[in-house]
Amino acid sequence: MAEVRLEHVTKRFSEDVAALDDLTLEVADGEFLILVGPSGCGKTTALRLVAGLEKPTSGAIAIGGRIVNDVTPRDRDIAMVFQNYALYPHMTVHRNLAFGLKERRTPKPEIERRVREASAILGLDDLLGRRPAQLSGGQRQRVAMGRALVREPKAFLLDEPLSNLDAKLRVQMRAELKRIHQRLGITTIYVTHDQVEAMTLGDRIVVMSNGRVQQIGKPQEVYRRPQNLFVAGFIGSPPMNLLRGRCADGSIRLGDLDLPWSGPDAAEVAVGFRPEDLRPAGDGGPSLEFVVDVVEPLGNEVVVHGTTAGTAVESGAEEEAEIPLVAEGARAAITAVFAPADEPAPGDHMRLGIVPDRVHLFDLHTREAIGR
Amino acid sequence: MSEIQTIELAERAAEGPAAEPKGGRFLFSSWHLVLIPIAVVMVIPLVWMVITSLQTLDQTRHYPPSLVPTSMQVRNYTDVLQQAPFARWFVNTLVVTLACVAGNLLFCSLAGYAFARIRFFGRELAFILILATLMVPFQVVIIPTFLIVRSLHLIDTLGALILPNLAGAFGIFMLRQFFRTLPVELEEAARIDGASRLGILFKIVLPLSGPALATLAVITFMWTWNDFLWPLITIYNPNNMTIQLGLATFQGAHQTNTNLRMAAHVMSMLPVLLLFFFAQRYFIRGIATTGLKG
Ligand SMILES: Nc1ncnc2c1ncn2[C@@H]1O[C@H](COP(=O)(O)OP(=O)(O)OP(=O)(O)O)[C@@H](O)[C@H]1O
Ligand SMILES: [Mg+2]
Repeated sequence: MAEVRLEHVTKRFSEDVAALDDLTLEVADGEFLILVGPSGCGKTTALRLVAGLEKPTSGAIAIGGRIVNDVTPRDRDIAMVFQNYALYPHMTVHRNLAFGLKERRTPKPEIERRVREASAILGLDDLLGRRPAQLSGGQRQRVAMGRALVREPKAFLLDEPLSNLDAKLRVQMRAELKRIHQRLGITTIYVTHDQVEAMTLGDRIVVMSNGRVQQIGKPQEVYRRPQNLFVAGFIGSPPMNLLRGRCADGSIRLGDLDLPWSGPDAAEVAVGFRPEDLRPAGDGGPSLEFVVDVVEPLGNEVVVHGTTAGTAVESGAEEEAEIPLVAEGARAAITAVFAPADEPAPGDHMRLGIVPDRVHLFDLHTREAIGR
Repeated sequence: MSEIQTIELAERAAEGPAAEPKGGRFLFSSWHLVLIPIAVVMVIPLVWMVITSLQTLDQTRHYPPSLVPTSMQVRNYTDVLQQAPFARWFVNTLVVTLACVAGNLLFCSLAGYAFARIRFFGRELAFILILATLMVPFQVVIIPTFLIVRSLHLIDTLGALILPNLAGAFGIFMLRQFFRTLPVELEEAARIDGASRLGILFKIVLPLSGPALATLAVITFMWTWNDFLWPLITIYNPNNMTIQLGLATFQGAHQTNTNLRMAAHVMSMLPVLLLFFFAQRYFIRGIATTGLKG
């Protein structure tokens, strides 16, 4: 076991675009770190650099305190689980698990012991004689995990290991991964673009975009205090509502809404509120007028899509685009999550109450969060 | 094609050939009206050859020739074996052929893998040059090859037949194309697992390349077994002849004994016929995937 450090790592596949741009990360010994970000933001590239399958253009990578830039994948002593598992098709499950140990000249009884142990942890005992083609998706996933486990490596690198499973199996394997990590405590870097995996699995999340780190922090911290517009729009599902507003004279003005504001003034801001922080307004608190378009009852909650007076702001998380300037007075689409008892009907006009201290503010020019 | 599909393809390849679909194999299609007559035309000379090889000399001179086997003169075969060192030629050919098959499998795998996966300076140029040699007719390289082989003092030995044919552009090209279709992740997983380049080639890539290797083996076998021109140029001593060359000298010496000549031909063709019979799937695949004729 060991900590993994990336220091100012840049990776260019061609002159003009950097797949990773000055990435600095530290994964503590035994930590479960999540890399999350939109497609093409460089998550896989980061893993491959740590694994040694690619060389960084510049910067240093250290595993267990030792710089490994010039160390082969074999000698880095890490294990990687590929998105498509990459099980050796011509070998039985047993040989798949044992391959890495054999290549490292591990004594036979030791190989046998470790294979038994991993297969017991993952419930592979009945599958050891089978070939990958004779396994279900979930079983292949387990074998891929097992191949990493038997190595007892310094660190695990997992590249979207659950993305090829159906929803139910994914929930099951997610819990299993967490259990395995709690039991073995091996340093793990886990790539995903699944919100739930990101929020539930890791000790910390790294939100990436365009090869750059946007925010690093505990899942709840990233969720509660997104540092910039990108993170605000990316973390959370359904995503945070972002509307163009103004703050001056101790209040935030957004359409016909006025919220008390004690922070510094800023001419143009994006006002963000999470769908679950909106509720049908009863009393005289701050509220927005709202027209319901679509209602999605999910059982334990109701997702309500509708519009309000105002201008939407794009976070950039949808696509790496600049914030479009939309004419004032347009109607902005927003989403709210209600308790089932509050389920409205499509076409309803209502007022949405906002909890003032759950509002997020971002400077529209720097795209950074404005502190309170 | 997605990565997953590719991996599944590789898995299926590793599982061995899919079972022939049952039923429908003997369904009539209008193509048969064309193919059956062609097949008959192709088979008649073969059948005639086999029948003649079992006839007495008188029967072979009968006019019109009888296509019905009336006698079974198996003695023709033993006569042939006594009158010429056929057994010797047979062994020579087998040695040369097996050496060439083994050499092609090994060296074309190594070269094909390097061209498919290892990045090195001048790779594309080298590969194009190798491909270009496929377009050079054999007649053009006979003399230079002969000079090289002579300078190695291999003329009139089996080495002259083996050495120049241990690797070929065709095999390198075919295996490279095949290796490139295998999922790279398998090799990367093996690298992380600690395998060396050669380890990856022999433990991961080649076991997944069964069909391609079989195709190359079958085609090399046919080419080498049937080769006539190169042995004719390099071998003089009857003891070192291959079966095709021996057959030609035997034919010259037995112009009139048609039955013996046919018996000799049947014997020389037998291995290739058997091979074709059992491995025609790979033979056809080789032609289909590379667009070259055998
Ligand atoms: N071998 C390569 N050659 C050239 N460009 C590459 C290569 N590998 C990755 N890239 C580019 O680098 C960028 C980051 O790719 P990467 O695979 O790391 O994204 P990712 O975050 O893993 O995306 P996804 O979620 O879709 O897997 C992309 O723009 C991609 O096109
Ligand atoms: Mg990826």
